[in-house]
Amino acid sequence: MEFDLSDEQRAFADSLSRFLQERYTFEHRRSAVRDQTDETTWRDISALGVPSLLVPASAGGFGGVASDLLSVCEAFGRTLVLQPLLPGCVMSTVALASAAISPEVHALLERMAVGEARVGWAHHEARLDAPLTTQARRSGEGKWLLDGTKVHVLYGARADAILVSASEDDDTGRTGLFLVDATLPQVRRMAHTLVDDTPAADIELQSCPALRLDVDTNETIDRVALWGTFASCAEAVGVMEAALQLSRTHLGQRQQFGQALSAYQSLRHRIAEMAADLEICRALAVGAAVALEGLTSTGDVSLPQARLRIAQAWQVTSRLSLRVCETAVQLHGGIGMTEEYPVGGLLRRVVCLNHLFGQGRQLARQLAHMTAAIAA
Amino acid sequence: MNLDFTPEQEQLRIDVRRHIEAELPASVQQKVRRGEFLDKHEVVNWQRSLNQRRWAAPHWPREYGGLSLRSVDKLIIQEELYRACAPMPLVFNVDMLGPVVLRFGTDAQKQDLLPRLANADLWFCQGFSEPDAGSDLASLRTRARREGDHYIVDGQKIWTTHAHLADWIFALVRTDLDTKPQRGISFLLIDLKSPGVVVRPITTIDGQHHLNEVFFDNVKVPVSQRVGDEGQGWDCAKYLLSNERTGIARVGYCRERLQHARDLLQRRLAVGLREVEAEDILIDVATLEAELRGLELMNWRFMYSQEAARGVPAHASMLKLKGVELQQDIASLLMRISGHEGLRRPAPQDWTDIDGLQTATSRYLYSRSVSIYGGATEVQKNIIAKTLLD
Repeated sequence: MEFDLSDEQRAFADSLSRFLQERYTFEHRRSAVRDQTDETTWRDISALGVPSLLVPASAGGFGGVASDLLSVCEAFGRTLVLQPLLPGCVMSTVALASAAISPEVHALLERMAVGEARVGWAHHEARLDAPLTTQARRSGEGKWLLDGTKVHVLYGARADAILVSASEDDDTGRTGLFLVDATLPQVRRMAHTLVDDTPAADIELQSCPALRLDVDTNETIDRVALWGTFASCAEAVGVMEAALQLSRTHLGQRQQFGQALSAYQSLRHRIAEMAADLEICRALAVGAAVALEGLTSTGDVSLPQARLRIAQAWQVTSRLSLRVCETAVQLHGGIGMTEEYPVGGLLRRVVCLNHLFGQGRQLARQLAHMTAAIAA
Repeated sequence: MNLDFTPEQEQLRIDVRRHIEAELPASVQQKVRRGEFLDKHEVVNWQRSLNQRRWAAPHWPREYGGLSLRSVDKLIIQEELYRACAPMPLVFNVDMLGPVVLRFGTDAQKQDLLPRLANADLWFCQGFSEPDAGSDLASLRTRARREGDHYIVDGQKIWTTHAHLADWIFALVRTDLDTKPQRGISFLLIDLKSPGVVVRPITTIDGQHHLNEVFFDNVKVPVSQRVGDEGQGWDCAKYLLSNERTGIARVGYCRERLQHARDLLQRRLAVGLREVEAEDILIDVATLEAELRGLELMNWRFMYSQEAARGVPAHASMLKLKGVELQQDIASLLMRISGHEGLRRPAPQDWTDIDGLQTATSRYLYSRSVSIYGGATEVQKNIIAKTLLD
């Protein structure tokens, strides 16, 4: 067993962490939210190589595996970076990488690797647990055209291209994955902001020309979800680290009733609980990374097994990260409730991740079904 | 990163599994599964069977009957034992006293004691807690006065697990009243058959006899039965408590209990438990299995990564904290599954005729102790917080 990062992975993690700590301060983040603009951060993390991590080497990428992503997501979580790591550098990249044989996709991946193109992931629709209403049909010339609306497309308003799932309007009733040029007039983007300040957009497509990816769509969507869930596990670990660190500092500095808060046993015990929760999640994130790697490289992990491992990791991490961040707000008292202090931003981030990737009893029910399916 | 066992580790697992299949009596296995007490000879015979393969104390050096196994490999043996509901080797013998003798004992003590500890020829219990010294162990008052080549021991120990089965006790006693509390303590080995020793049972809330009080009234103990120097008892105790970390999370035990939960649920379904209720319980089982996976990965990470272990100095406390939470949650779930079946308090003579359903409530009740003994949960939190705040 090996739980440590390789020297190469560590060096990359260190340089990214250092960069984000120095440059992506909470003040920088606040001004980015206020002004709705921050082009320098994307340029700089592209120069560091973040978008290239999961791009295949054949398209000029790093061709990395899940453990290469682990510390990157943690670093983004620690500093609450508002950049499209999760939807773009992870989810869309994973989907496109499996269709890299197509010249158009290959060219796009090359641009993504160097940060020249940002690709959104548009799968969710307003109606839950229902067949996709976005439709794909063939035009007279045999080109695909899309109609429908996707919601909460992360960083969708500024994406250069968008991956859209749609049911194909033919006899097969298949689902397809389609690549759409986001700048076309047939794409209407309604921008909004999520509770954690993430820019998002609802996207309306009207007879929008699209390129169908030549992939096993259901398998690809499934795998994209696994990568997204894994990346959330890793990011939540970073968020929890920051919550613990801020709380330790606050308890050491804040004086009440003539002594530092860190002298009160009830508060000390909360810190101990947070730290134990964090270490559980840290280990689970490694487990999720290894499950993904077993799936992609050596192939010794079956898909249902990997799905279970990653769902287990997220089931625990989603709950514990929420608990840790709630505790951090509590330990900070009034200042923890203010928008100008980072601890509340950490809570807002895990709330969003929980909504995006599932939580609570519903997730536990899925886990139970997965276990039953494996046993059967 | 990888979570693969080496071929040698896989082979060890297979060897232990085969040994258990061939040697463990089915009656013993069933007793352990339903939580019944074993007869002393059943425990002793099983440990001797393991000791023939050097698996009773596999982490000890070869010259004293072990295999010098690393803790990660010892864990594999433990997990196979839990999985098969085989009794664990006597923890006070092989995980607590043995390592202290290896570290602090004289050569004569090592030669004399270690083979007998591994083979369960001597059964030791632990005499640490006293009526006024629980979590605050250093305030213990059992007194040992030096008289020539003997100590005279007076005082009382309490919560002594299995003292009624044990042959000997290792005890912390106060040999010096004039120095600071930690420095005045020594570590003595005392034969429970010595004149002046009285063992009295304590019945716990599960209605069972696990625990005892042990009284010492002018008990004569040869100085040669002291381990370590006079006044070094606190170091021995600290070493002892820090040493047994391999199994502290009890992952294998939790896994067997969750499998047991699934089995019991099937039996309840057969007698008319509603499907919707069973489905609800299975969701809880799946949740606890996810938490168990987290505990297992955390345990492995701290065992396999020195960097992780160094970075989190209080990791043993975290493993204990999280491990007992899970054990207690699982015990609660088992009680919930058992429903009315677990309502009747089993009399000692009933135990042979009953199964896991009827014992679930008793076992739930006794499971409340796991967050009290071996460093209470609150003490573990103090230890963790100290590393983060002071």
